Amino acid sequence: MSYLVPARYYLVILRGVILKGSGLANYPDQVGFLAPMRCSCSD
Amino acid sequence: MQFLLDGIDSNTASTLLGYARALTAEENAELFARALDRAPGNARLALGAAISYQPRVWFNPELRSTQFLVPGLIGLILMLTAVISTALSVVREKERGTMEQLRVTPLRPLQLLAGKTLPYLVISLLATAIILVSARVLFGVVVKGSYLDLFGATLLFLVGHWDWGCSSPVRPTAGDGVPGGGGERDPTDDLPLGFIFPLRSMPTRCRL
Repeated sequence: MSYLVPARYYLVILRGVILKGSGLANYPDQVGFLAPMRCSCSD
Repeated sequence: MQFLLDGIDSNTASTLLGYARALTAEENAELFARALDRAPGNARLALGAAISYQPRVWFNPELRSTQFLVPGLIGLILMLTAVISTALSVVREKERGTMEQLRVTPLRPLQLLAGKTLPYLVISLLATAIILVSARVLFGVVVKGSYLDLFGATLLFLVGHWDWGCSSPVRPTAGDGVPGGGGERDPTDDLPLGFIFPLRSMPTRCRL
C-alpha cells in the first residue's frame, strides 16, 4: 500500500536534495510518480 | 583500500563500516602470517599492516542520525498539518451540511477547492521554511541542494497528496485522524513510508 502514498517518494527526493545536494532531475522515478497525480487533479 | 559509504542512513553505514573493518583485519592477519613465514628474522620487526583501512563516509561523515530524521520529520509534519487539515476542512463542511450552502453560491467546484487548499498550501510552504530554519539552528542540518528543487518537490508532494486523497474511494469522516474521533490514525501506519526508519532495513512485508 505504501507504494501508492506520495510521501514515500517525496522523502527520497527530500533526503537527496537536503543531504546529497542533488536536484529533482536526479530523481525521475519519484518525480514521475508525483507529477501524474498533479495532472490528474485538474481533470 | 578505500571504502565509500552513503552515510545518510547512519545505521546501515555503521553496520557496513563494522563489516569492512572486520574484513580488512582478517585479510591483514592472513597477509601478515604469510609475510612472517617468508621474511628473514631481522626483517620481521619491520612488517606492518598490508592493507591500510581508510573508510570515507559520504554526505554524513559523522554518521549523525539527525541527518536522516530531520527530512523525515518535514514529511511527517507536512502530511499531518497540510494534508489532513485540508481534508478535514472539506469533510467538516460536508458533515455540518454547510457544503450544500456553498454549492448554491456562484462558486464553481474548482474555485471552492482552490479556496480550501490554497491557504493550507501557503501555510505548508511557510511551515517547511520554519522547519528548515529550525533544523539548521537546532540540529545543524544544512540544505546542500537547491531551495527551488526543495520547494518544487514540496509543492508536487502537497498537490499530489491532495489529489490522492480526492481520488481515494474511501469517504472519511471528521472523526478520522482525530484522537477520540473513533477513527484514530495508528502512528505505525506511517512507518513503512520511511519517515523514521530506513525502508531497506525493514522486512519485505512491512515495506509493502
